[in-house]
Amino acid sequence: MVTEKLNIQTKRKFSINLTKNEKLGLLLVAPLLIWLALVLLYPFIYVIFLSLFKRDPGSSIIQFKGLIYFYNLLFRDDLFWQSLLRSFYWTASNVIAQFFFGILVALLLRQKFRGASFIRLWIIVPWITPVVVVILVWGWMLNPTLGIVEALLRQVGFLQGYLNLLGNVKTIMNTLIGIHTWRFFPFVSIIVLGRMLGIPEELYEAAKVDGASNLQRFLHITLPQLRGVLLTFLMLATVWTFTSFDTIFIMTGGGPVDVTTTLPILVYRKAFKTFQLNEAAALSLIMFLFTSIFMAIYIKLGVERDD
Amino acid sequence: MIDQTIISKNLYNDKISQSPKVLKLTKQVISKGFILVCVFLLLVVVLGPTYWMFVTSLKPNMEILAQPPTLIPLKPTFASYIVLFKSGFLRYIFNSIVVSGITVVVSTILGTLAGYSLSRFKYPGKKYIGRLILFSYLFPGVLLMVPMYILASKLNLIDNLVVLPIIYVTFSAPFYSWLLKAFFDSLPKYIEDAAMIDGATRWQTIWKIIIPLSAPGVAGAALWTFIMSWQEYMFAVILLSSDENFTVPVGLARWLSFQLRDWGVMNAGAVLSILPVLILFAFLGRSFISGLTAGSNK
Repeated sequence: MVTEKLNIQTKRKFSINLTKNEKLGLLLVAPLLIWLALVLLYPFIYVIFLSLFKRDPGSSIIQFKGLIYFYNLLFRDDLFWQSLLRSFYWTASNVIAQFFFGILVALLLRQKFRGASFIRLWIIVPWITPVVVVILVWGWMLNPTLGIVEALLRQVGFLQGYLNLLGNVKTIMNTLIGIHTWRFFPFVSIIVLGRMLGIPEELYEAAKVDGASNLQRFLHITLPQLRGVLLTFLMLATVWTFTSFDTIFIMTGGGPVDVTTTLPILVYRKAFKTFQLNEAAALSLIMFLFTSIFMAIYIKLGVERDD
Repeated sequence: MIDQTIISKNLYNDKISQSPKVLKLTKQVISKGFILVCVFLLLVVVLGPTYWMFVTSLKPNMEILAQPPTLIPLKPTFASYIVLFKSGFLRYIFNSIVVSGITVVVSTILGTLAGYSLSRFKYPGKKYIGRLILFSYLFPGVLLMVPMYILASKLNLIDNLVVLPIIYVTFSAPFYSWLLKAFFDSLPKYIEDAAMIDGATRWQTIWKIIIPLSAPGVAGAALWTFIMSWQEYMFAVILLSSDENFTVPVGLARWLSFQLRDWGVMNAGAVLSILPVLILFAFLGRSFISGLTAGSNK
């Protein structure tokens, strides 16, 4: 009885503390939060569960396995280390290339020329192209016998035999990086360009007057102004590229002979080819560790910029 | 500071008037020409592949095999598209439209409400809720590949199209709300205050003032959601198993993996997969880009 009364009292106190407006605000954001709790948080907790516990098929006995699945990955699986290194290579090369071309193109599109606004809009086409279409069309264009790329190179006289960029174990990873970069760099350009166009023109004029060269203006005005956008996007691109699955999976499935197997591909193979679901879950968590390091940096940078 | 610029500006102008005009003109022409060449190269790199799939899809088989390839189809034909329509590709398109449509509608409801709440209201814990939503947007889908599969099979949702919008909303609604928050932030608050002073209730204000005003922001965010769910491959490929349920990316990738080397038909499939995106982008592209840059520059 007494506790009930207390409960009611505290409840009432709590509801009095919230004004009508505060309640409405919470009510509006609640559906999204509930959705995220059910479809994002719950599966995530389930991954953690899977990486630590084993349920025997047929019986409902749940066994605690400790860190055995992590141990298996780290010390008994050469493919894990190979894939990890390959993931780092894939991520670093991609992000560097994306930002190099992205910034270069943004600098170009910043200039005034006829049709600038048209190109500033439509340059995004690679990024809105479905990944499977990207793979299909590049596979077709890079086809060694029928593709346009090699045909043009042969026509001009740059090429005698066949390149076969997608069929060669040595070049296939870099070809995939090229294709992925092609799809993503326009996105970097658009974001960077948006920020560049917001830089006050007076800054440049003042620097010009002071005799600063093009390069100096880029280094001392453009770059510092872009710093925030570039840093946040660097982190975002790193997370996205590190966890990207479909470009490699559709093109090669991780082959030939594992040379394009990155961590996301390895998760897929463990889960759906060799049916080691628990190892796959442990591997997901190791990936989560890496991405949360990137995200922590991102959030920290975001917070710094908010203040 | 300002005085200085004005003074040095004058100095600068004097310098120009002294230098030979012809030299300046040639320099301008060269740099203009350089820019145009670069822009042309950029266009070839960025739009070339899309052009090439259109061209290939319109070529008859003999011409596809021709060496060197023809840059413009000599005898354009819709033969590849006819083969495509007979093969059941329309079914994939129908499935994709259903999945993306549901995703866009649900994301719009959840994202707009949450974005409006984050932009206009004050309540305890708002900062953390905002950060939580941002965090879920950054959360990589790959990490949920395994549990989503197991949970879907427990709920008997394997090979059921309904499961896809449920997952897609989870990854699109957070960014949707973030874009909309940025958009609402850019709308002056006195609009609502004026309406409320005139006697409108909060709901009336939202319904009659805020929703019409937020149309450009919603258009951009909805397009982004559509593009994301239209092209999503990973969850679709692990959760769908029968041909009649495939979405466009899964169906097209399946063809590719069959080593089906009918490049005309495959390029026709690619064209049909990108066409809806391009058409929507032609209409909504501007609000899409401005929403994206505003949202990410915040």
